[in-house]
Amino acid sequence: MTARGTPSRFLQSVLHNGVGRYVCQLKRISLVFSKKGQGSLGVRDFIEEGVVDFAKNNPGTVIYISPQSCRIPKIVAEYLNGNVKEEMVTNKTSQQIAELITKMSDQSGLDIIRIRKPFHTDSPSIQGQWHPFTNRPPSIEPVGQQKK
Amino acid sequence: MSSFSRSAQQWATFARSWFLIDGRMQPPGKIASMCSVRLQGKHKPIYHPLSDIGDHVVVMNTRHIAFSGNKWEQKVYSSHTGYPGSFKQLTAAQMHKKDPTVIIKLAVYGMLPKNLTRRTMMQRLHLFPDDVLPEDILKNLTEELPQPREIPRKLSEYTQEERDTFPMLWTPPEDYRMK
Amino acid sequence: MAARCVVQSARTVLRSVHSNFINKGLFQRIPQFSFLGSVQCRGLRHVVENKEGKTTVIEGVIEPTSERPQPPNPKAACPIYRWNLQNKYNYTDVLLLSQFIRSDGGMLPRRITGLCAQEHNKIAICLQMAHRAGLLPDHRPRLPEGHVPKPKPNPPLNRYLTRYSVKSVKPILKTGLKWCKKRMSVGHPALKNNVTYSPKPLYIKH
Repeated sequence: MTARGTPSRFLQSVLHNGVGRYVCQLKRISLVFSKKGQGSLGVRDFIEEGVVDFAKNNPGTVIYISPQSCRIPKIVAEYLNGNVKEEMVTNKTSQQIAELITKMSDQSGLDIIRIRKPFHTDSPSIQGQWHPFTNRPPSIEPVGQQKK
Repeated sequence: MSSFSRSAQQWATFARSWFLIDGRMQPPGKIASMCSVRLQGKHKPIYHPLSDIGDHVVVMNTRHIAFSGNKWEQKVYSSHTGYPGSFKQLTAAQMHKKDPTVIIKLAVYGMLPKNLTRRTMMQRLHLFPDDVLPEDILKNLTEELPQPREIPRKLSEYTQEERDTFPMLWTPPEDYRMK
Repeated sequence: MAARCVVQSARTVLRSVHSNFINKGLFQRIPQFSFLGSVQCRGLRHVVENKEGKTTVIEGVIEPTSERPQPPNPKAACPIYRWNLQNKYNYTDVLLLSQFIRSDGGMLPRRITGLCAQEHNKIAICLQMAHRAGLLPDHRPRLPEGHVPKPKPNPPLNRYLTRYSVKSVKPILKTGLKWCKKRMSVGHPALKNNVTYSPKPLYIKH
């Protein structure tokens, strides 16, 4: 598929986040894992070691820990703008899971798709956009034959 | 800029303007290079090759273009339709006699980028052999471009005063009879 | 260009000399020549009749040329060098070129004009180009009265910097290979050092 066919958006931030005060966009995170499963060994390690520290460092984020009988452990992150992201953490060590969770808490929750231009400004121009008559002397005289 | 809103500004940005070029006594190549820049939209600061922002160009007086050198006789336009025996070669003078707009048209066509937008851009080029333009085109025109070549004045176009103030470079001997 | 130079130098001369300039009205032109675009304004004689009693003296008096500014370099023999116009004129300077032709369009001989050989050659080339560009008036002899010329099949084509005569040139049907192409020459190499109006280097072979 060509680049034109993929979904795309322009570079943006959520409500000028970080201009005055930074608001963590990650609101809710739930760790779904199995108590006995081999694949969720790392998650269990992470819950023992790192979850409390993470919760203390991020008071704006609610953390649910839901042991279920599931084969594939996952992390479900819900953001302020309503986006929900799931990450599979099968066979991952607690170190990797900690990195993953910090990455998710840093994200804004916007879709990760192609960004059309790597630059953006909210106030494009003070004098207004260019149009064919900018920087041209005003003339009312008709062009062409009418003047003859 | 408060007089019109944001969306209206964008309409103005992408509006197509119509340029008028007077081809009288102008070399066709220079006219064609001016045209091709305008047709592609390369004169705009918002130019992007994927966005179709070319302008319209109207060339009038194409019957009165001027070639430098002996190109009217020496320059040859070749064509081949693909059928056997259909290779044709016409000099510029013969082409001009057949159709007074075709020389400028071919020159512009050769200067445009060779891609699918070339035919579209050519549709925005309007050629008129004389200075009579139809009414609907006259209404659209926004700017007349300056002529690339300065037209030299003929001797008969100088006023008597200018001729008199021009100094005499030499004086004939007294006994020489001027014809 | 040349005209501007000459007029400027004339102005400076005027300022320096500060002579009381006699602003004569230009001598009366002889009416039968007025159909030509330009009239030779030098060496013309006009007929003066003097009646003294019974003897009538009819005399062709050379009309005095009007007072004109003096050249900046009067010692030089060639009029172009006298006015410091080397490499400053082109085929468009019709006022300059028209001083070196007869009323039928031919060029005046060098022994009369005093041009040096190089400048004579250059002026001849410039005159040819000006003629072919249609800048000079039609010098052909007048048709007899009541003669209607045949309408020409092809309208005249505008051209400039034309080096060869129109009828002598043949179309270049095969331009040849890339390293030995037949080119169309524009202008004349003798005029290479004359005024150029663009900062780009002169490109004669198109």
